[in-house]
Amino acid sequence: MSHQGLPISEDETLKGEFRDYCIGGVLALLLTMLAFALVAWNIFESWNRLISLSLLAIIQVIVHFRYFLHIDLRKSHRDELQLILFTGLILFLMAGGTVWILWNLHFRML
Amino acid sequence: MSSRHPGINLGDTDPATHQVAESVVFGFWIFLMSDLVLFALLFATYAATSQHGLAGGPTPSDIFDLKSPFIETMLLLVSSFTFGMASLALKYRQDRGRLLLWLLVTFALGAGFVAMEINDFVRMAGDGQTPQQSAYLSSFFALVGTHGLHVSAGLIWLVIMVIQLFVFGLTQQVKMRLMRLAIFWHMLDVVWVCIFTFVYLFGVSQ
Amino acid sequence: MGQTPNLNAAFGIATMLIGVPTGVKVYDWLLTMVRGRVRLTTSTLFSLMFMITFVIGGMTGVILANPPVDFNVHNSLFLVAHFHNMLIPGTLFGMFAAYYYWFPKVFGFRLSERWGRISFWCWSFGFYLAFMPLYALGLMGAARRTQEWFEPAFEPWLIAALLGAGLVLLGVASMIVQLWVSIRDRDSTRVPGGDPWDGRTLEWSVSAPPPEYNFAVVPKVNDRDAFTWMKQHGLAYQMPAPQEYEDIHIPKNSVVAPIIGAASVALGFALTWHIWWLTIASFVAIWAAVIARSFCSDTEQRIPASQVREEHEQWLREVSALPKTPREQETTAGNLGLAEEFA
Repeated sequence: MSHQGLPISEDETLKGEFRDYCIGGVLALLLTMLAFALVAWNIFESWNRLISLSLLAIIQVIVHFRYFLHIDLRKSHRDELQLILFTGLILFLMAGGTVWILWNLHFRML
Repeated sequence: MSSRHPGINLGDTDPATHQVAESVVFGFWIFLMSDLVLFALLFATYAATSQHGLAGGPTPSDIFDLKSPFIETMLLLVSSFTFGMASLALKYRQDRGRLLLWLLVTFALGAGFVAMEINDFVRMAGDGQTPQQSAYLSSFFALVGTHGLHVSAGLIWLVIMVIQLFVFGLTQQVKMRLMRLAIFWHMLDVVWVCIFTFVYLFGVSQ
Repeated sequence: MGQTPNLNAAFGIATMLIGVPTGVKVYDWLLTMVRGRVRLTTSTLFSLMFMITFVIGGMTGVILANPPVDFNVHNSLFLVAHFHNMLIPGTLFGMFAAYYYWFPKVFGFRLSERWGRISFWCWSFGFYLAFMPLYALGLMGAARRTQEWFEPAFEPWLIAALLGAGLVLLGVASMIVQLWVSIRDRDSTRVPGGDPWDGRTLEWSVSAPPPEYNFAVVPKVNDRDAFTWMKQHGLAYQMPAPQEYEDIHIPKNSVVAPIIGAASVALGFALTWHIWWLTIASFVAIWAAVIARSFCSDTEQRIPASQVREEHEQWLREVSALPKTPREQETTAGNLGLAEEFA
């Protein structure tokens, strides 16, 4: 099929999209290496390390969503973003609630 | 101005498919969100049992090293990138050659990931670290195993798509299936980021 | 149930909040009947029993939402009574009402009204007799999932519950008898007109059973109760102009869905009982069916406009020859599916 109409945005060119994937890949790679380095080289201890690892993971997840899955803040993506945020809420409630209850039971039955 | 959906958008090169794909991809996206909820609960169970479900058996730091998860992470991350390349070939190129190449590379990387993971599981079982040993190990195998099964299903799906490319060519139906597979594949890498962080890196740290 | 006060508070409040929208729903349902003329067909009887009994169950639910009370009756027969009080009148009676209501539309003949009433009374008395004693038993300390009873004080209640269960069994049997009798007598209860209940919505405007494509011509909707509006304005059963018919594209029938369904049942059974060969076989069967289907590109059929027109005009001619049945006689043999205008 031939190229029809104007590009939807400047990113919708082969070069632009290729750049997106490359940026995403490199960022993800860096974040991964950073996370492994934190553990391998014993940077930070216990709580600080766990928190920084969690942060690195969250940032990498966002990188994946933005660069590989093309989810951003523009209006045409609102539905998907809303769905992701709603899912996030559900995840927080169910996973967080589970951990809360189990910890609570453990505390009471110790 | 047409709206965009997650993953590759065919608005410029194939507007007809893009039109049909919008609701189809959104529906698949909703399904993936429900899959995420599944993983979230497996994570929650893992979190709880890794603290108090050890049953006198091995602790996370006893069973995990860094080498294997690192290689697996690289394999999956690069495979996400190569699938991105496949998506670009799907969108911008007329011939199937490039698309096939990238799909096959993705398959090889994904298969490598699954092979390594099976190897890990077999080694653990050989050391007596089976799912039956403790609640912690049960939830570990459930969480990482479910992810591995998802990747394996993705691999089978990839093979079917390669076959369909030959049987049908790059039809609208085939394009939409590849688009959904792409989103599925990227999602699995997202879940893996959480697994290598909260299971392996946390485990080694404790 | 034994957690710390904060946790109990959170869950107690969340549970009690359920009652609020539920209450709104109950008033909605009641208000659909206010100033109406409610006909006590089997379907309506089940709907009414649903509303009454569901409210009782909901009230015991709010009782259970109270943490200190729940601490004592959680996992007792009080809980069992409560959730059956929601599910049986709620889900089940609702389904029965729907079954009785739409059966004539789906299969083209009515169910025996007499056996419907018998099953309704058996189910209703049976449910109350079977489950109300369980509330008392729960408060007396009887636990759920118990195999054997040792407390003499429980015995009269348990016997009452057993009698209730027996009545429910009769209710189930009545429904089976009703189905058998109705199928046997179907020629005398056919409703080719498609509208045995003087329905208000569009599904009643087509034949019973409906054609594969539902509507011969896309209906124009002017009101929430579209079919009643059509009947009141003399537009029901109008023969469309020849050019209004179009080719209709619908999916082809396929055996894939029943195969996947049957294989899924086998998979569930096999996983429950650890029958590994069946697990693998059914799992493979499901996915083989899905994958095989994905290679099928010929999945639509086209029904030509001429065929649609022929079928539709044939049915309209049949309808014009049918006698009109007033509402009071809708459960008699004279009801052939065409309703008299309701003044």
